[in-house]
Amino acid sequence: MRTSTDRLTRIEMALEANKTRQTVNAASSGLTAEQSHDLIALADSLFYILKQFDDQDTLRIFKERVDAVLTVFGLSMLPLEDIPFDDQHHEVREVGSDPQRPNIWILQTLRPGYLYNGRLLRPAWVVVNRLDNQ
Amino acid sequence: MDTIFGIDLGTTNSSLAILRDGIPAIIPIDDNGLVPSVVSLDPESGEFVIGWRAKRRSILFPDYTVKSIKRLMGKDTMFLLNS
Repeated sequence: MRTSTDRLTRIEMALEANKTRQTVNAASSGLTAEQSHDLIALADSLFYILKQFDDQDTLRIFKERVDAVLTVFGLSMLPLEDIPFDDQHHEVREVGSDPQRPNIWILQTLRPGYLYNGRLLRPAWVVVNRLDNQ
Repeated sequence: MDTIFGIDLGTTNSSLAILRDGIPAIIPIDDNGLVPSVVSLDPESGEFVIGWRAKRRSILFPDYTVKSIKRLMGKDTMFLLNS
């Protein structure tokens, strides 16, 4: 049975872990919040331009190249499509219905999401397939 | 020594703080000091999710998600999911 002391210890540990994580994040890449914002804005702009061509191969190559650059700074872009919806990484902005695709899968990414050192920096805005009325 | 917690139960967002050595500190949940006041039930797994995860899925499962419930607290109101 958990005691109140156990719970307090867990809270103290969570607070310390958060402080340590912030320190490590700040030191690991030398990337300031402003630089991170600029890099993401650049990647977003390229994404929106390329998205207009509606060519999956172009977007795939774009993502590989952007990832190669972002990785150096501890950043990575979340997968854009052909993956199931995950509420830990994606925010649903629209619901679609495509019988050719699996239920609760991402049909389209409206705005890319990013991880910073493996932790969610910004969720992706997505359109999700919903085939039933559950 | 007494431990003092503070809970800000907001209509849109909530947060939790602890008073340590006279200094208040926000307790982060999912790396964030603010937690959306949202609860959602996953219709497939039966799992309840709260906060950011619940908010992110609210458009997908509106019938299984509860938001802005604070104004109903204290009232004799039952909220039915998927009703």
